[in-house]
Amino acid sequence: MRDRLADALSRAKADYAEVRFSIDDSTSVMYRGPEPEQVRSARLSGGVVRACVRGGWGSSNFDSLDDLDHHVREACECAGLVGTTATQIADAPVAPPSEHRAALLRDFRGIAVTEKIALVAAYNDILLRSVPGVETSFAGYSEVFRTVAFASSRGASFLEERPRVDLFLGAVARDGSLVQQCFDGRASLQTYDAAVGLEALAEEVARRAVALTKAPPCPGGTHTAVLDNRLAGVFAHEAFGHMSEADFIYENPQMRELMVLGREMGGPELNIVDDGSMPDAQGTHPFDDEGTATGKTYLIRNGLLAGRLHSLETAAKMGEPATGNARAVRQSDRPLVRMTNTYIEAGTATVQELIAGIDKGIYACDALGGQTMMEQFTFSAGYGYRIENGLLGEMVRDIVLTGNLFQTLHAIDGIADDLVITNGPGGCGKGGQAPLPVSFGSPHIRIRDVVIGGR
Amino acid sequence: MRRPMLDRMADAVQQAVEEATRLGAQAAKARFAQTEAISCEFEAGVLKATTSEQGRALSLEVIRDGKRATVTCNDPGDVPALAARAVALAEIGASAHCSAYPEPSTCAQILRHCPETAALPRERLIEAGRAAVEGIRAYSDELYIGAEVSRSEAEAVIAHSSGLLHRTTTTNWNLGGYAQKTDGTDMLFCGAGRQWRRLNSFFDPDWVARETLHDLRLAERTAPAPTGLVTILAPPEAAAMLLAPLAMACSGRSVLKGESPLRDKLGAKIGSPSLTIIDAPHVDWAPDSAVMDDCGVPTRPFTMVDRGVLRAFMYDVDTAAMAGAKPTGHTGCGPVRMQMQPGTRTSAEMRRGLAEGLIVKNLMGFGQSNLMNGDIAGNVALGYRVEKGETVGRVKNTMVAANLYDLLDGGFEASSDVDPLRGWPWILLEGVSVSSGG
Repeated sequence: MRDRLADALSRAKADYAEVRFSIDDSTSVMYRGPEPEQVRSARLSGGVVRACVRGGWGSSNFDSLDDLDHHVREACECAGLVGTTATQIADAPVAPPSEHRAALLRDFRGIAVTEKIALVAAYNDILLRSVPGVETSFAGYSEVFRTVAFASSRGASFLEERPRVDLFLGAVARDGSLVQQCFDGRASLQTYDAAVGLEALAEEVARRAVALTKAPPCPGGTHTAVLDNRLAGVFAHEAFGHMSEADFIYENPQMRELMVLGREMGGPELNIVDDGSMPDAQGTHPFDDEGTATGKTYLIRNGLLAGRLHSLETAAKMGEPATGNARAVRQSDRPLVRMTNTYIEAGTATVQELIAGIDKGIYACDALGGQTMMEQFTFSAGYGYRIENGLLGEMVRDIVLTGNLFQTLHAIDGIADDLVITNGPGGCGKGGQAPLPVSFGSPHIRIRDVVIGGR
Repeated sequence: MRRPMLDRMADAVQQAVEEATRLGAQAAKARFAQTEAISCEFEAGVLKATTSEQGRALSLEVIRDGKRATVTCNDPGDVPALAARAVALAEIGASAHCSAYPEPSTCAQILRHCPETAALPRERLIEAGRAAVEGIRAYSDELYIGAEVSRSEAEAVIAHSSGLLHRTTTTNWNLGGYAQKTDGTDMLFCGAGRQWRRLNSFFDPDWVARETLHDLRLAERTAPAPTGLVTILAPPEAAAMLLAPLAMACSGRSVLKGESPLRDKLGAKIGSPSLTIIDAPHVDWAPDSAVMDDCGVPTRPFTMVDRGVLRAFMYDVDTAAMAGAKPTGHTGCGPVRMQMQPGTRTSAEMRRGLAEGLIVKNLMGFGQSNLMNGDIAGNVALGYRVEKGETVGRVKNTMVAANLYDLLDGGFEASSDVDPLRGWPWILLEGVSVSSGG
C-alpha cells in the first residue's frame, strides 16, 4: 500500500504533499443498567491527501483508494487557490520506509466477542449490585485496530498498526431527586489484559457514586487546593499543554511575544514535559502524522518556558525544531499540532507535607474533564474532601476549578514525589477532532488561591 | 431529480435487509449515507486552506431472537458479507425489546435541499470568508482573525423489513468568524457563526463581522463580576446550552434506567408558568429538522414542558417497547429541535430591569458538570456585568454554578425576541451562584 501512495504522490504538483490512508476494524459493547445496550462492529477505511503550494494548503478526503490520483490532483488544485507566498516546511529527518507492526502482549483480535461481552457483564454486575444505592450503571468495552499507511513528498513512508483497547465503568446513584455519577476506566495500546481484572475498580466506582449522594457541594470561592495525580495531570494538559501547541502561536505576534522561550512561568521546581516516545502510554507512536519522529520535549524546565509542540510548518515558521506533534484523529482528518503524553515531573515533597500546611482548603480528586481558552482554563474534579487544619475532612462534590494560566502556574507552591501517568479511556479534543488518545500525569500538587465554582 | 447513486444505494439497502432476513433475522434495517463538502479556512486574517471532502457509510441493524447488533462499513460492494456479519453478531448482541420495526406511515413534508446551496462555488465561499475577516479587521489590525465557510450536500436511503424505503437529500452551509485580542496575558475570544440549509440572506458575512465587533466593543472595559446569588441573562445560544440537562432528563431511556431526576415528575410542576419547552422538528431549512426518526416513525411537534408542567418524555422504538409506551419519533430518545416559547418582555427590557446582573454569553467547561442532575457550572468565557440596566464591562476569572431545576422553578423568564435561526429567546435566571477571582 505504501508504494501505491508514494506513486500517486509522485505526480503531485505541489511544494509539499502527503497522503495518509487507514483501515479501522472496531468492536464495541455497552451495558447500561442490567442489559447490554449496544453491540457494534465496523470496518471503515478513509484517507486524506494534503498539499502545500506557495504556502497555501489544500486537502482532499476520501474513503477508498480507487481514485487516488484524482484526490492528489484535487488537493493540489485546492492548495493552488490559496498560496501567495513561499512554502515553509521544516527540514526534519523523515520517517524511513518502514513497517511498525503491533506487538500486543495479548491481542484482542484472538479473543471471542462472547468473552468480551462476558467481561463487561461481570463488571456491570459489580457496578449494579456491590453497593446499595446504585440506580444504574454504564460498562463499556471498545477496541479498534487501525492500520495506517503514510507517504510524503519528502520521502517519508511508513505503515503502522495502532491497536487500542478501552474499558469504561460508570455508576449512577440517587438519593431522592439527587443524582450523582462516578466514572473510571482503563485504556491500552499494549494488551487486552488492561481491560481485565478491574473488579476492585468497578466496586470503587459504585462506592464513590453512592458516597457522592451524601456529600455536600463544594463551597464556591477562592481556596488553596491540593490536586491528586489525575486531576493535576488534566491541569498540566488543559491549562498549559494547549498553550504550548505552536499553531496557536506561530502566526500571532502578540502570542509569540507572550510565549517567548525563557519566560518565567512558575517556580524552579516546575518541569512540564510532552513525550510521544515514552513506552506504554496512549499518545505514543514512532512517527507523527507528518512522518516526523516523536520524542521528549521539555515545555517548562526549572520554571522557565523551554519549548513547544510543533508540526513541520509551525517549526519552520518559528525557526524551532520539529517535535513530532502533528496528529490526526479520524481517518480523513488533517493533522493538527497536538499533545501526546504530557506530565509534570516529580518534586520532592510528600503528599502529607502538601496537605499538612493548609488550614482550610480542598483536596480535589479525579477528573471529569477540562477545557481551555488559552490563558483561562477550567477543569472538574470527580470528588474531593475539605482540608481543615492540615487534615482531610468530609467528602464534597461539584468541584469546578478555574483560573488564569500565568497566575496559577506561579501559585503552585508544592510538588509531591509521586508521579503517576494516567492511561484512561476517552481523549483530547481540538478543532473538531476528538477523541485523540493522550496520556497525562503528575504528582500531587498544591495551588494557592484557585477559584472554585460552587453553591 | 433523478439521482443514480441514490437509486443504486436504494437497491443495496433493500438487498441488505432481504439478505439479513434470509439468514434468520426477524427484522433488519439498513441505511446508506453519502456526503460531499467543500470548505475554506482563514487563519491570521488570510486564506490558509481549502478542502474537498467525501464520505460514505452503510450500516445494518438486525434483530434476532430478542437480540440486536449493528455493523457498519463504507464499502457497499459486499452486502451479503455485511448481512452475514450482522446476523452472527446479533446472536450475542444487545437486548432488543421489539421484534419488528413500525409499519411506514405518512410523514410531514419539509424543505431541506437547496440547489443554490449545493452549487455554491468555492470562490463564493472564499469571498464570504474574506468579507467576514475584513469586516472584523475594521476594529484593529492587531486582532488575530479566523473564519471558516463550507457547504455540503448529503444523500441518504433507509429501508427496513417492515416496508420502509425512504430517501432524503439535504444541503447545508456554515459561515463563521472569530477574533482573538491579546493584551499582555489578557486574551479575549469572540465570534459568531451560522448554518442553514437554504442559501438566503442569512448567508451574510457582514452579520458575522457586526456580531463580533459588538462583543469586541462591549469587552473594551472590564468590570468586577457580581458575586453571590446573581441574576443572569443568557442570549439564545447560551440559553439553549443551559437547558441541555432538561433534554437529557426527558429522555425516555434515562427515565426508564432511573438516571433522570424527573422520572417521577410527569404531570408535576417543574418550572415557572412562563416555561414552555417544545420539540419543533418541521422547520423548513433548519439544519436539524427531520420528518422521521431512524426507524421511520414520523416526527411531530411535541410539548415537553407546558407552562411549567412536565408533559411528556421522548421515546425511540426500542425504549417505547421496553416501557410499554408509544414511540414519539425521537432517535436515541433525544429532541430533534428543542425550542423554548418566547415571553412578553424584550431582552433589552429584561436587561434594563436589572439593578445588578451578569450577561453570560459563553461558558467554558459546561459539559464537565453533572448535567444529568441538572447541575450547570462553568467559567464565564465571555460575559458582562450589568449595573442599573446597562452593560458596564467584561468580567474575568468568574465561575457560575447552579442547579437548573432550582432556577426554572424560581425567577425565570424568556424574552419576546427570538433568534431567527435557532428559534430560542434570551432567558433570565435568578439565583445563580457566582464566584470570582477578580
